[in-house]
Amino acid sequence: MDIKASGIGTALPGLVEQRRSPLALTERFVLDRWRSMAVWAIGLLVYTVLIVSLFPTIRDSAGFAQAAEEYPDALKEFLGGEDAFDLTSGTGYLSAELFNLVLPLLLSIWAIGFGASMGSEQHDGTMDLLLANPIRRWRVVVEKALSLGVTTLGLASVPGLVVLVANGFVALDIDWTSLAATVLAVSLLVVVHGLVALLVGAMTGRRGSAVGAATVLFAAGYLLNGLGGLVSWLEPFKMFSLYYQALGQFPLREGWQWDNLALLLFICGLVTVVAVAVFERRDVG
Amino acid sequence: MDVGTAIETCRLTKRYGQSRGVEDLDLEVFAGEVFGLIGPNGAGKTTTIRLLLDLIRPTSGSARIFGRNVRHSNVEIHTHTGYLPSDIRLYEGLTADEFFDWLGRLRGRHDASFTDELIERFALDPHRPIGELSTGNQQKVGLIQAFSHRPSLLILDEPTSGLDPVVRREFRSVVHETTALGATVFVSSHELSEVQDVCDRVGTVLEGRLESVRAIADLAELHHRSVRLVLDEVVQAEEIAGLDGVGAVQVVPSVVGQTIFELQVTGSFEHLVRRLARFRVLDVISQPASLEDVFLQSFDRTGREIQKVGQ
Repeated sequence: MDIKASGIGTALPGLVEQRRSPLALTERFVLDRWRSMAVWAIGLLVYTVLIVSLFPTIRDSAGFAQAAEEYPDALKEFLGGEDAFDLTSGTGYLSAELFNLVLPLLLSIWAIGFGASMGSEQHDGTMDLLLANPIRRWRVVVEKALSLGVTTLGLASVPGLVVLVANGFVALDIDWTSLAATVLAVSLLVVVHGLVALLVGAMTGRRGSAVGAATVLFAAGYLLNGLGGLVSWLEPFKMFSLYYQALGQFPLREGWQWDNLALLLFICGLVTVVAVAVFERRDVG
Repeated sequence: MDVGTAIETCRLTKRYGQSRGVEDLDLEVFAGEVFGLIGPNGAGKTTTIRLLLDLIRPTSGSARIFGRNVRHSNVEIHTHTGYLPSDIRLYEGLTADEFFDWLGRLRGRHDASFTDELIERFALDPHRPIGELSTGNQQKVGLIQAFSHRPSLLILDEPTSGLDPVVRREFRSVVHETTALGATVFVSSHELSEVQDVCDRVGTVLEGRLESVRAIADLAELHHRSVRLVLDEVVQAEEIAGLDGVGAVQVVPSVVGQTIFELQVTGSFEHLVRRLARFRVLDVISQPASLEDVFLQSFDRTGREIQKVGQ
């Protein structure tokens, strides 16, 4: 049916039709965070530079290596295994000090907070204003998921780039493809958790529930991965840990693990689809 | 399909658990009119508006805008609708200018020169981040964005709240100009006096139900005044009661030698003023009857007398 014929489109003078920007929401979601993104990027940069520049000292000091050797086996196993705890190798050092815990933890704060804005925007009322515009609800979910993914990948590549540049200076002996695989694995891991926050936020309209659910999931995955190496009966369940899927098999040394990455990407898509379905039916607010 | 109807709801009902949203709302807003939805806070005005915008979904019943189901044709409808939420919250990092530009890209419709005109008329500083603006100025941003894409339907929830008198007057002119061009305006307010100057018709909601819909000209209550007279002599109530337009005269206890009357005046004060010329008048206080006086002085459906508010 023609809109004009139905009386909707009473043309008022002065109106300029312009092209609808297909990524207008993404623009809003990303640009609204550029300041905090800049702070995050600088923080990650400083931390990585610091960690990398300490490597030669730690590698060459017998004390550190020995101290690490003397950690209880259980602790080493929990923290990623003997290899990941070899502070004298670039891969072991960077895994222990950056990629295995610090970076996923920090970035999950970013991603979960981002995803949870799906709840807080409903609670605050900015969602009302968005949805009163001529857009479909799925677009809000999809563009939020997209912005979440892009910003997280952007932030995760900051330490990646620092390591890449430093590789030559301090003899980290890191293979750049393995580095890329690790950055992607960390990104996908935290994006999954961010999307879970987005899903719960879309479902409940509450930031707190969204952050809570995603944080618990992250902690559970990390624990399951760590304990899976220690407790024999837990071992078969290790594969259900998102953390294990992303980082449990030492991508910084082993390189691309396509099936794991594909699985994480699939889960990202699945969670987004469920979030769309939930949000389409929801009473916003 | 009736082209002359902008908004039509059919037994529209929204229940929230035990508490009521709106119940069996049958509403018709004609294209080109200004319709006011009036009622006390919590009566269901915002619920109705959020149902019309498809932000929440009805428990039962349906709503159509320009003949189209608000649920299934929401994108087409929203293209031609401007919305001001109550207690508006905006993206605080943007300046008003940036916000309007961005909305243009989102909506695909924007009238830049009209937007600039409104910024000027509402005396808004468009270059400051919205988060730094006062509540009243944020309300202006909300109003301007509702008009900036030249929608043919405006849905404004408590549009005048937080605005100073000058901006209110400007708002009324903008509404008149917009309807003159053929647009329909749907406003809500908890104060009839806030919107009586712009509305053609008003509907009153009480406890989720539409009580009445009347043309503004038919609202005899609008011409009601609550008057308090203080006379410096002893006067019998009969001297005042029975005059044309004077009703419900009550004698209020006062100091010896004085008389205080409280009464209602409908329409012209002419007869009352002529009669008062006979007495030593110390004071005449006349107030417009409030919304509560107008609508709540009645009985609700259950026959329970509603508490008279503000007395």
